[in-house]
Amino acid sequence: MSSILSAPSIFIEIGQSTLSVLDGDDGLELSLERIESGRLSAQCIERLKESLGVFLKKHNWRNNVRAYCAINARGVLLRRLSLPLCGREELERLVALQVERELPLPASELAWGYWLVNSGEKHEVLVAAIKRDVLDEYSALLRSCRLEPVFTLGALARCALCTESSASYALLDIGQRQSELIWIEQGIPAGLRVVPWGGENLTRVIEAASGLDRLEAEKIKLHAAANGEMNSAIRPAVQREVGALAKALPSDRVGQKLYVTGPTARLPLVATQLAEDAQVACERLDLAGPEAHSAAILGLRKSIQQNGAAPSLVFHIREETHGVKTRTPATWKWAALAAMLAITAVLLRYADVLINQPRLAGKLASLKAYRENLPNIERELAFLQYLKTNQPVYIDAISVIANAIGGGTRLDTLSIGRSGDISLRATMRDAQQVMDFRSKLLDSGFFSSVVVEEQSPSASDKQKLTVRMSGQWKLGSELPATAEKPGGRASPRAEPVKKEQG
Amino acid sequence: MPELTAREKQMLRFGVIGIAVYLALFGGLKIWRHLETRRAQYALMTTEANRIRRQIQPYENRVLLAEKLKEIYRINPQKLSRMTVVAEASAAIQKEAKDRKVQFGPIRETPARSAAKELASMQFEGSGPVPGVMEFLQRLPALGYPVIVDAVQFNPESKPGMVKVSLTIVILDFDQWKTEEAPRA
Repeated sequence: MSSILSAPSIFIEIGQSTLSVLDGDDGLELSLERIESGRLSAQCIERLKESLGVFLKKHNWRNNVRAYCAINARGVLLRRLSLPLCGREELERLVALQVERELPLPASELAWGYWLVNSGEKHEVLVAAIKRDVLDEYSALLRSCRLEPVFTLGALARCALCTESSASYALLDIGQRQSELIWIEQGIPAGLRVVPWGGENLTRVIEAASGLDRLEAEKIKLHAAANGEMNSAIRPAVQREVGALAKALPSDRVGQKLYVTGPTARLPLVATQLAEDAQVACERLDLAGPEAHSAAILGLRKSIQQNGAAPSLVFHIREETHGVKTRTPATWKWAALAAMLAITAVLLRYADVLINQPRLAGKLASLKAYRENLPNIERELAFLQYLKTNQPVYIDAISVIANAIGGGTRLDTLSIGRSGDISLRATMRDAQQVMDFRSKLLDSGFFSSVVVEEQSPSASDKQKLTVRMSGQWKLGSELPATAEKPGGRASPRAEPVKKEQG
Repeated sequence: MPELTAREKQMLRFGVIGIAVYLALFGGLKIWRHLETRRAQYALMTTEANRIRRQIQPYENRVLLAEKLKEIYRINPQKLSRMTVVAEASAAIQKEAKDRKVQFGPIRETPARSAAKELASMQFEGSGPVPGVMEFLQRLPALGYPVIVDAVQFNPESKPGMVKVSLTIVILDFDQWKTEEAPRA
């Protein structure tokens, strides 16, 4: 589960003449061509890019894979420093000052890392440094293959394979043209040395002793490494050559035991001869896995799997490194995004103002204009209400009279005033009809009073009566509602206004 | 032009960053102040708008009532001209009478009592068919002029179905309402 969640990583060893890669269980070994300065040749770089690209293509979906790189010891300076007890940040600053003071090159030209090996009365720090150009070249190569390199020292990585963590011992990795020796005192790396002796030396000795060409001599060496058998004719020569290696080792630093690794160390003769000549117990480290897996890669993988973190000593490429350059745009991007969000958060406070203020100003102006117009509306309303309340209901009055009047009646004059006073003169059949007419007018509910002012026999027809009457209709709300309207519409008096002001 | 050293470039970079930060702070402060001022104005405007809305809310019904009455009487008091309203009302009355086949005789116009807020008083005498006279009387208030029939008198006509009518009409003076103190909004 943790392997799924953790970032993908691969392991690389960059030796003097080979570059080994381990990606899961897949391994790859590429030869390196260097120019006189020790830098990789341009053709070699192109070839490496191409080969690594093909090798990594099978896991193309991965992005920014972390590559733990163990570099060879050539050009590496190893120092142990004692520093006063302090915090981690202060310690880093002190180490940087010591590196500036003690190493022969300016710190800006160095890539260096440190390992806090002991924190007793003082901080015991192991510092490793290398020319920055070397790591810049490796870093550029690996970044072009979309890898995130983390550089450490190969000799230190190999130490992870040794089970003796507290004893004093040495580890010799025999390469093709050179060997690396690191010696450990009480579990702490004490020194590092590159010995110019490698598997090529044995091949040349076999070639000279057997009289065969180089290719055949190499085959004999590999056969001997696989089976442990060696021709007696070449054995003394090989023993002498291994003896030369033993003499090149600093016998006082090797400690109690010497471990040997590398393809040449598979020759049983090497370990036994080294033990005999160096007068020290010598043991070949058995490496699990295929032969392509170097001791440095396996040690690196073991320490990463055990610790789950970066190696103990990591070279940091400070100032103007590729890492800084590539990270800068991303940092700026996030900073710009954060600034934009901050500005947006501030602007949200004013968004309502900026959006709604013009609209509110227009609305406020219209409200003010409306308020200014209110007195005019008040006057209009008073005028119209006066018009309404003073509008007499003549039609209603005539209608009531017409309904009340009996047959044979002759209406001579009818006068109606705005105040509701009515007077009429009519000729009626008899007194009974006059009484009925008066009763009907009162019963209609329209009139508050009806007075028969005079009734006398008609001058033309003595059988009939001439009548003069007056009346007063009811005022205001006392009047019964009718369906008559001004102009053929509902009468303002008759139609109640729905939203009349209280 | 001599090439700048790394130190000079760094100084230049810091200078540019410093100036940019200064400008951003200075400009930002001005913008912030401007925005705060606008925000305060906006708050004031909102308060003012709410206050006015509360003030005019009680008048809503009165405005509706006025609109309703205007619609019923087909009248817009603001458009009435004191100089022409009498003549226009007289013409409209005569036209309405003609449309109802009411024939007018003499028309007398007298200045009305200003204390009663009247502009003029007119007397019409005429005759016509009973339905026409009734309809004429009914439509008078909705002619579009502020007229009130002060008095009406009917007399019999010699022809059957006809009636003599005598009308006293007053025309109201809206200007006298204008001079009245209106309740303050």
